[in-house]
Amino acid sequence: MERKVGRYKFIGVFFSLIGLAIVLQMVRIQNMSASKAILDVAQNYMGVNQVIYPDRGNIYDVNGDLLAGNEIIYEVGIDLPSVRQPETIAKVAADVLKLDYGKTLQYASIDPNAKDSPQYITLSGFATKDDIRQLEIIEQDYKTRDLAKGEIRPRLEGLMWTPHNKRSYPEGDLASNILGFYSYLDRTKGSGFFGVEENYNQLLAGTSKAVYTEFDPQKVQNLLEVPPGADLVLTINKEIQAMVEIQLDDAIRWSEAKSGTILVYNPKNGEIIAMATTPRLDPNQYWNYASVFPGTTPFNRAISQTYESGSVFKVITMASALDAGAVTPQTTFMDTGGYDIGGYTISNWDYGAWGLQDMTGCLQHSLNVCLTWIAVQLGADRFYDYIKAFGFDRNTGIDLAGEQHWPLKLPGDNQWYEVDLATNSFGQGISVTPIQMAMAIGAVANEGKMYAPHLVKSLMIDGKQMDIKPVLVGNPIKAETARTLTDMLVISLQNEASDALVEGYALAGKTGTGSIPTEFGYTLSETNASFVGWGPADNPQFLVYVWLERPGISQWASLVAAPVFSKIVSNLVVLMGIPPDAIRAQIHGQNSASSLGE
Amino acid sequence: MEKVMKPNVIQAYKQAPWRKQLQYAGFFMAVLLAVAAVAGLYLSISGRTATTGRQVQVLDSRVESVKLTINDMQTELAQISSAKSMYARLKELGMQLMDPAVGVYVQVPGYQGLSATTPIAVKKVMTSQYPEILPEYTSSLVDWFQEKVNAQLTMGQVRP
Repeated sequence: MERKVGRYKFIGVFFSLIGLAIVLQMVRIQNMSASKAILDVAQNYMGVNQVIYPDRGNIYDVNGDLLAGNEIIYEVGIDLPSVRQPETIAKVAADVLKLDYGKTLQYASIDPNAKDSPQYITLSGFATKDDIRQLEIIEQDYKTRDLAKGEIRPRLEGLMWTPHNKRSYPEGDLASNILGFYSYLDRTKGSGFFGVEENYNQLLAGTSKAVYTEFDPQKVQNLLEVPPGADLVLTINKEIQAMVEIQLDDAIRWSEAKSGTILVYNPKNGEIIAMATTPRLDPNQYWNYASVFPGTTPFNRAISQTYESGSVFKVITMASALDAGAVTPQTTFMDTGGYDIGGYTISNWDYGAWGLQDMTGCLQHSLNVCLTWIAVQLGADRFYDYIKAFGFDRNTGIDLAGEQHWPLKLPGDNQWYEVDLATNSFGQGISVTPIQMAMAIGAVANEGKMYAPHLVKSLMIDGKQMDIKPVLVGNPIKAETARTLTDMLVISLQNEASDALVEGYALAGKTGTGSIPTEFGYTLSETNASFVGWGPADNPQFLVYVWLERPGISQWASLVAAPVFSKIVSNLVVLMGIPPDAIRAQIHGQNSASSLGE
Repeated sequence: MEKVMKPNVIQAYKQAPWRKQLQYAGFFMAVLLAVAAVAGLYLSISGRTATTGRQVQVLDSRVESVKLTINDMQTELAQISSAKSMYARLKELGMQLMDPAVGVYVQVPGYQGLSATTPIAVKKVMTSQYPEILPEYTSSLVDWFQEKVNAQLTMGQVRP
């Protein structure tokens, strides 16, 4: 019996020792340096540190048509531990992706188990859908093809493709001066440049997040969703923008102008309906920027290039004088063909004397001498107060990147001379941007109320729409003054039988032929031809500003810019659904009668 | 009677120690069974959460893929209906912009023209997070027990 107990004890001790040895070995393995290395390697399989970049927000026109969105593009790379046939991968990559065979073979042949060797190598960050379709076909073919005896099945294991977004502009260069572009080739530090893309870059980009994503399905609740960037709905109407760009390109071609800009602006709320300028860049190929915009060529002339607009500025001078009571429409002026001021003599555009004129006549014949006299009647202080009230001393604040303005010279400044009052009154010696002119003259079209020009109508953030309210930036003139001047400009346009007229519509407008300053004085042969007009005169729905730089066929805006305005408006009234005045009056009459009947 | 029984039971256990050993073994087995039951329960729940988690991961990946496809198709549609392609198609069809002077305008009673409000032709943004995982799948048995005890203790109490 005792022997039996002894055996049991021996077996017990024996197995206990084995157990102890196992435990000791476990502790030893757990703490040896190699195990630490293994644990570190294992850590790689537990999750991944990554920065999640939200989808960049889309940009739509006013009707919800996409102007800037995202499309699928693929990253193609080699997962080295999975590679079986480096030669096959290199051959397919060379055939389909046009990559260098030798280099790809070198990458695919890297031993992933060697010290400090990578596990994954990117071959191409921007493979197209067609490329991937081809890869899929080849992969399928390799898997299913019948092999001859002794032939080895080709394998693409290790070659992988992952989809991601790429910024895309489906309209090509349409409205590109407004949109700007996004440098999508830089997948981590891409940014918006120019236009809306730059101005709203942060909103469009959203907020990227650095996260540790665990592969453990038990920890799935730790997965983060990163909301996409905000979507923008612009005030631009794609159809009108396209029409304006076509007309502008056509005008530049036949007028042989160096460049051109056309703005279609809603004076009632400051919305830009269309903004076309040259040159234009296809933002899908933004790397052509330097060749499209050589030297100091501005990306968007409408907001970044100042110029001496010439006689279109007379609208501002006349508005100021009428508003201040310095003149009335009936005030007469005897034009003798010259006006002496500050040691200089101001002449008319034709160096002629136009005799007795009322204020409408002064505008109709665009008389520099008359406008100089008006500015003198108004006085320099009041004249420049009005100029400032119209916003010519600052940026308009349009929501586009890159807006510029020319510093305004004022009485008392070193560079200001008495003759400047005269030249400024007819738009020389004062540089403006087309957007400044559109905003200022918009006040004349809109009963004296001046709205900040803007391009974004709504923001869509997290599925919520936020409408941008129009911003009233001032009332430089009274409503009565605005109505009076509009009537004067309608009459002057009709009396002149201008090329700007559109049958059936009463339009107010003014031409402007601006001389160009050079280091040797103003040029006589080259001009800036401009036209500003709005309509329908009794209820303006649009203001169109046309500027053609240095037209070749004629220096006069009445011959170059006015017909462009007419063509634009003829198309605009159709696209905006504005019936001729007679029909509108008829509809208005019927509506009034029916409301009285009720 | 009690005084007689007690020494008898003690004596019986002294005479047959296997009874005591059987008692220990029974107790040990009961504990083992309880532990196995709890472990089994944990294993079952853990298996189910892992499966569900994996499904969520797969669905998450599909959601991402679908989002990319939606973006892509939106862009493709915009390319097809871009101003340039539409103008080209209009030209092919021999269409041209209407001359406003020859247009016929008809008043439609009640029709107010195009709405000035912004059309919401934009994508719906997914803002919801993953469905919340019930605490039953994440809390330990001890947590669950404590929660039940606390619930019992606070039952019937009225907040001041």
